Amino acid sequence: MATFRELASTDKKTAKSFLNQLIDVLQEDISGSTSRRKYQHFVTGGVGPGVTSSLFQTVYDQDFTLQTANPIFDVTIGLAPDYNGGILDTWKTGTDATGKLLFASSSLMAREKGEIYRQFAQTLLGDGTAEFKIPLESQNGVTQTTVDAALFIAFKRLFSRDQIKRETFAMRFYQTASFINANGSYVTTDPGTNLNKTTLSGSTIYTDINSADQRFVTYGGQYGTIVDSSDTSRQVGLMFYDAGVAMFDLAKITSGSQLMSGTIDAMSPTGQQVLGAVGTQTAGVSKFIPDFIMSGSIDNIVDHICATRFQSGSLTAITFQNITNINSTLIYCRTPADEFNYSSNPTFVDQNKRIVVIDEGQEGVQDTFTYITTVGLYDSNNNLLAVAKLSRPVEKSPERDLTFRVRLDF
Amino acid sequence: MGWLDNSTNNIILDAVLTDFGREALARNNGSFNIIKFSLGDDEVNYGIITKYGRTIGREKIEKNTPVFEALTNQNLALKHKLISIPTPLVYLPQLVLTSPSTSVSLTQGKNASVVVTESITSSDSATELDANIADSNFDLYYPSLFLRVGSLNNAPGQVAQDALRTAQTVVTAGNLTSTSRTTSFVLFANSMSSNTFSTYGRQVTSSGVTTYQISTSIKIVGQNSGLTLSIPVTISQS
Repeated sequence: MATFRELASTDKKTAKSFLNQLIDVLQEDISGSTSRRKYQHFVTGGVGPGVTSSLFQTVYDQDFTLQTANPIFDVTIGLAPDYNGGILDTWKTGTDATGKLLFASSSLMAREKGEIYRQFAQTLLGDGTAEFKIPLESQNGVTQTTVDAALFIAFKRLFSRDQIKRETFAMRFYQTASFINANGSYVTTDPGTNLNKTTLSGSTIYTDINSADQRFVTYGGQYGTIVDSSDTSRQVGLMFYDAGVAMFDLAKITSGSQLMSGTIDAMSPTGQQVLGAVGTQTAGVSKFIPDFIMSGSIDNIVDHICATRFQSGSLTAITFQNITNINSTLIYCRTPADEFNYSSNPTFVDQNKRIVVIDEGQEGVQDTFTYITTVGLYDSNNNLLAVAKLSRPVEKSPERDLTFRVRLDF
Repeated sequence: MGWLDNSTNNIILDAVLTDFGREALARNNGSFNIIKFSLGDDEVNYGIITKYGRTIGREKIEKNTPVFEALTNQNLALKHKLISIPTPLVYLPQLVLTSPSTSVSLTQGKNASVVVTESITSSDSATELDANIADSNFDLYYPSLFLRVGSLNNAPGQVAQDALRTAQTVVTAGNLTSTSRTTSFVLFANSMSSNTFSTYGRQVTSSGVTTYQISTSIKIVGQNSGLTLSIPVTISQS
């Protein structure tokens, strides 16, 4: 037909390419309560009004109630349930006939913390009873440690895309909670209520530098080791690139022995208890690990980590690059010299239907010409399946044959 | 619909799927199969050549014609196709509404016959249609929300996802001569609710009676020539 040109099989090729995007997560997006969404899935019964908590929280790039908000990552914590000598093993009061671990009512969400750890282990390590270890597999000259208390950051597919690019991840994290007491003084032994107080100093950059040198693969796909940027021999976590999950050993990225104080949810008549309160059992002894990690609900712990350990400024808290695999069909639209030189555009002819690009009296001397702005791709029934636009009109005349390379990405 | 940045010399054109293309892909039955292409020049005003001449006019079109981004509605994305004609022509044929003369007027539930002729009306002696662009079939695009073709019971078939549910059907040229092509078809106006009339129509008063009237159009495109004619259609409530 005079308006279509058939494509030969050699005019269609496929190609693969990659797209990298740089993702920056701001401190205030992580710390802000409006950009961090909670899901009140867990409810206790028993004493007092009970405790409600999320099993994880989602950090958005703006107020999550707005329709334009995009979820960036889910964050939660987990405790190794099957680790002999670990926190859960030490704090459990027994095991029932079904194998369920039993805990005192002051140990909030202990089983849930264990189940979350197990879920990540099952998905990433292929065994729900396994423990995350750093490094994951033993290496000569490196001491392998078991991760007992883990911080999991699971990036949403919107941002991690097909995978996170190696050696691009970095996280600015404050290792300690605030040491400023009620009088404004810096006191390490009695920092006052520091659970909800933003940390002002002592940040460290954790990064997956050098992870491109050795490309390890496990059940959950490719992974690398996250290290302290100021001492790269200090391995503190694992980055699972295909899954888009960063796992940190809380004992290594925080000062676990720091004293913590403040109000947390509890199975008590008021539904709350004050950790580290003067005159109570926990005064002067409640440490981040294991006391706060065991006594606080997941919401309490995630609130503390997100609100205080990432600061609340406008600096970058987490950054990485993602990789999107692009499969393309390249279609070569070849226009020979003697085709597509007339147009059905109404301005192509005058009122008498005379072609306007040929001057009066120059018929047979001058050639007609057209301009191409659009390429349409059709099926056998003349249905327009795809459209490509040129950035500027390109002249087509009997003296020019043109080939347009049209790319269709999937 | 924004303009494209023409400050780059990108030689690879990125294509976007039309809504029909996405639908075909979703069917997953092999119906998404690109086998041919056409070229369009919707943004170009060739009248610039008349005003500035072939040399400066060409430069003005190339440099001063911004191009719009692609549209994903298959009925709007490429309206004016480029045509291949092996023999040099000075005049192009045109599609003319022969009957009725200027526009189609219908009352809901009623029909009207439409005749379109393809011919050359030129001041020179050439009146024969070039065999390469003479059409045997025409694509007729119509808003199936308001209209049917052939019979009121005819289902519209493939319908676009636009507000007017644009449908496409093929009408055949009946009178094949060396100088013209004629096609005729019957257009039916659907019986529609008062709500449809008040939503899409305007109030008009005739002989002291106030009623609603919907103004729309149908488009007929020569399958071979790509020649296009848009025909105004008015549908009265009563």
